[in-house]
Amino acid sequence: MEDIKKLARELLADNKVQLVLGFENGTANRVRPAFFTTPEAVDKLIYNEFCIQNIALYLKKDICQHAASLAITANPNVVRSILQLAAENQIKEEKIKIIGITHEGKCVGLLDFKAAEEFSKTQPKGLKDEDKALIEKIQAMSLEEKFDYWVEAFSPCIKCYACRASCPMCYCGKCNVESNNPQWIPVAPHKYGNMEWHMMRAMHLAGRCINCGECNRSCPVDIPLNILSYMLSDFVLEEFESEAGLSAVFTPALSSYTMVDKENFIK
Amino acid sequence: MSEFEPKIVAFVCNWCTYAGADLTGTSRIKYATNVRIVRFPCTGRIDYMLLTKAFASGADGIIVSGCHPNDCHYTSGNFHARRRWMVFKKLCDFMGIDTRRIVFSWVSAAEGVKWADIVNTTVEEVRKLGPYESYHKLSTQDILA
Ligand code: SF4
Ligand code: SF4
Repeated sequence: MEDIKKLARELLADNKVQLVLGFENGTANRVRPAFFTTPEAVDKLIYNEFCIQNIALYLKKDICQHAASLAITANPNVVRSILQLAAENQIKEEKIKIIGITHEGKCVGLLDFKAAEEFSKTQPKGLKDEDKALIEKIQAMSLEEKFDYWVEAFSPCIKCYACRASCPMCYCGKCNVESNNPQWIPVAPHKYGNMEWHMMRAMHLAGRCINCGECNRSCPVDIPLNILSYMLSDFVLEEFESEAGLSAVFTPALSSYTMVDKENFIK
Repeated sequence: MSEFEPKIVAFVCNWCTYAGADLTGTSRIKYATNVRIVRFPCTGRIDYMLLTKAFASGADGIIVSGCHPNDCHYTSGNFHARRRWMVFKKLCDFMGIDTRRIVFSWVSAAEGVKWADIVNTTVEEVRKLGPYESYHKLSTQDILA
C-alpha cells in the first residue's frame, strides 16, 4: 500500500495529475471511493482486499471529465474497464495515469496503455467458479425451465437500476429505460418489465462487458444478472474472437461484422 | 372457429423483402393470411426489442427478413443485423425465450415465391407449437400479479 501512496503523492506533488481516484476508509469499517487533490490528502488513501468496487465508473462522471489529468488506483477490473472505455473513445491516454494493482494487491507501478494491455492479458478476469457453474446449470435446462428460472430470478428486482449505475460500461447520458415515448421498458417492476429490462441490459453490454461482476455486487437483492453478460462474453469470444477490455484500440463485436459471419440459422 | 390460427408478425426491410412480398401479391401467389408485415428502412433498424414487443402484444411467431448479404441498400445494415441476431438468439436460448418462433430469412425483391414459402412454413411450424402462452401470460396476467 505504501508504494501506491508514494506514487500518488509524487504525481500530485509534481503536478503530473490534478486528482487521484482511489479508496479511503469510510464509516463502519467500510471502504469508499475517494478523490485526492493534494499530496497531503493522500495520507488517507488506502488499498486493501475490500477495495473491490470497480471505480472506473467515476471516469465518466463530471469531476473526472473536468479534470485535465488524473490518476487511478487500478486493479485488473479497473484496467480492463479503462481499456474498453478508451476503445469506445471515452477516455484518452494522455489524460490518465494508471497505477496498476494485481488481484493479489501488489502494485506494479504506472501503466501506459500498452503496458496495461499486457497486464490485462496476465490477470484472469473476474469470472468465479460459481458463476461458471451457474451458467452450465442453466444451459442444461429445458426451454421451459430456463424461462421459469429467469422469471423467478428476476422477480425480486425492484428496478432500482443500481446494476446500471455501477457498471462502467453503462455510461449513456440517456438510457433506453428512461424513454417513455415509446416506452421500451415498462416502469413497474413486474415480471414482464423485469424480463425485458434484463434482456435489454444484456444486449447493450454484449461484447462490451469486461466481466467485473460489479452489477451483481451492487444489486440489493442479489440477482445473478452478471451471468447473462458473462455468457454473452463467452459467446462473442467463441463466435467472433473478440474480447472486451484487452485492448485500447478495438471495435466491439456488435459494432463490426465480417463477410463470413455464421448464417446457418437464416433461411 | 375454435381452431388455433397463429398470429405472425413480419419485420422486413423496405428494399428487398417488402418488395419481394409485393411481388408475391402481384404474381397472384396465394399464401397464409396470418402474417402482419411491418416495413422498416433496413434490417439494421430492426431492434430486438421490437421482437419482444411483438410477442408481448400477442404474436405467436415472428419473421425477420431483409436483403441477402451484399445486397443491402445501405451496404452493411444486414451484416450488422446478422451479428446482432446471432447474439440475440443466443440470449433468448439462454433465457428460455422460444427461438423456434423466430424465423430469420433473406428474401430479395425477386423472390416472391420464396416469401410465400417462408410465410407458409412459419405458419405451419408455429401452428404445431401452439399459442405462445408463456410470454403472453408474462405480459398480461403477470403484470397484475
Ligand atoms: S455488465 Fe456487470 S460485469 Fe459487465 S462490465 Fe458492467 S458491471 Fe461489470
Ligand atoms: S440492481 Fe438488482 S434490483 Fe436493482 S435494477 Fe438491477 S437487478 Fe434489479
